[in-house]
Amino acid sequence: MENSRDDVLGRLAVAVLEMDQARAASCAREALLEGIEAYAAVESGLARGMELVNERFVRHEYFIPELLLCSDAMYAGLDVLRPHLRAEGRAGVGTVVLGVVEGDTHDIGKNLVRAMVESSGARVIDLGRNVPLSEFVDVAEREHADVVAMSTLMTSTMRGMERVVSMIADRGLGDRVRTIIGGAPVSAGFASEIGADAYAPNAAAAVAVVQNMVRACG
Amino acid sequence: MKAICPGGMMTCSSAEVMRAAGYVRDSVHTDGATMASVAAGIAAVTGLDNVGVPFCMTVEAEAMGAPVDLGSVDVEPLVTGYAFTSAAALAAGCAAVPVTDGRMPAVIEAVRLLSAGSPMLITGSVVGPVSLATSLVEPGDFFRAMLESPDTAHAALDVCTETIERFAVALCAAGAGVIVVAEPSGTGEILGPAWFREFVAPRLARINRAVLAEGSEVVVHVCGDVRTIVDVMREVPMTAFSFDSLVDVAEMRALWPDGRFMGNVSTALLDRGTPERIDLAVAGVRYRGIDIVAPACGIATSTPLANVAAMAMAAHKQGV
Repeated sequence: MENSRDDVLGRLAVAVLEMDQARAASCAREALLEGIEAYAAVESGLARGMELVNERFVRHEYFIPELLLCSDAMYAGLDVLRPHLRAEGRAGVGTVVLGVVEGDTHDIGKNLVRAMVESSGARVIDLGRNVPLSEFVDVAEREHADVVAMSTLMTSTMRGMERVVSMIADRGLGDRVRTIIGGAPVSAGFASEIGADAYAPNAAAAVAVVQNMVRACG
Repeated sequence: MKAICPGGMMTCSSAEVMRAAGYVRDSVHTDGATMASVAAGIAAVTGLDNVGVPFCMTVEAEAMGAPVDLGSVDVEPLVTGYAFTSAAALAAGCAAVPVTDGRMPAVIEAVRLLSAGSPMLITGSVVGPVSLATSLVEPGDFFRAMLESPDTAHAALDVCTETIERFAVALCAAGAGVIVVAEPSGTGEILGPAWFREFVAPRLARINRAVLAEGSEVVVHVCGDVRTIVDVMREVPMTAFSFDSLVDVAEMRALWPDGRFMGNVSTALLDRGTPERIDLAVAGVRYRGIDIVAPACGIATSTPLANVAAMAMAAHKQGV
């Protein structure tokens, strides 16, 4: 039984790694049929698959197009498992508000972060791209978010992140809401300069930071 | 030594510079005469050695049907929607015609006016083929197509390349001495070096050959870590190569001893640094092997005028 469980979760991870949406969905269904908890299938199947994807990315074997197709496969599996996650009461381990800041429409990096964070089991509210700065704060307040995550690919729009961080403080949410930023022009130095709590250079790093933030918010 | 802001992706989009240069909302991007006057104004207030147009990287996409928000002095023009639903639809589409489509005629008119009115170096900026394709088709969908139906992606990129080549040639004919091709999306870092070689490099070579045949010079800017694509870029005919400040100029010089390099002044430093720090940075990139001083990437709209002027002045101090 244990072997069969490992086997199906391993195949689910490999389906994600090999960008196969149909196989990811069928492995997810198979896992449920074998009585595996949806949460375990997410953690040891989908999230494990995305970890393997990231390893290839770090080794320069996968690039952005591959990451996109892997995250498509991850979502195909997650769509099968999500209703069962709710039934298990496991949905919503922390709430993350995510978006690309105003003036910028480049959202591939943001979408990869969403895929990684969702595969880790957190609730993600994706505001999309070219998001008015106040919307990050309004939604974080209304939805009792633990984390606000912002992305931009352009130097011309990165200062918007600073405005969001200060609006969060002005709104009195500074103790409750952590902020993380990412995107090509920003850095750890820029994050500390604008008062953001963290910076992540890629989606895998972002999910690790967000998980810690959510746990800390407990 | 010369300091330039080529326009396009690396336009001098600082709000303070733009205001001082006579920015007029919308018409700065739509009217050739206003565009020319602001370009001349930028050179006058900063001391830069060129006049560069356009002030955005949305001209080609708009000419092929993309909706564009022209923004404000603080926000650069932005593509707000996609003109094509898929890479296949783009592949079946038509290249833009520079004399009629979108704001291409305005940019060409600006170059013509600048050419008639001033002896300064005129730089015309265009975007690279993958950057254009991913402004016309949702980028994720386009990258998926590159993996799943590469022939379709190639055909779509050919339509984009035809548009860029026609526009670049029209800018040369109007008097642009240099064309700068900026490719922030089709990079070795995003696509990997193998795909850069297959999808991007031959098309950059095609655009560059067309520009060189017009008697103008051509600079290519590629974002991200370009060390993995040096071998490929060395085969692409060009006058100079420009890259992000995350790549060390001296290391590039070692990889490409006979290359001519433009850049590589950090845009974070231009935004947040002091004129004294910028003076040191220009001396630094010069020492490490830069041939033409310019911002290493797109500059922030919050960049102070004094810092751009400091970059120009520091370059001039460096001698030839």
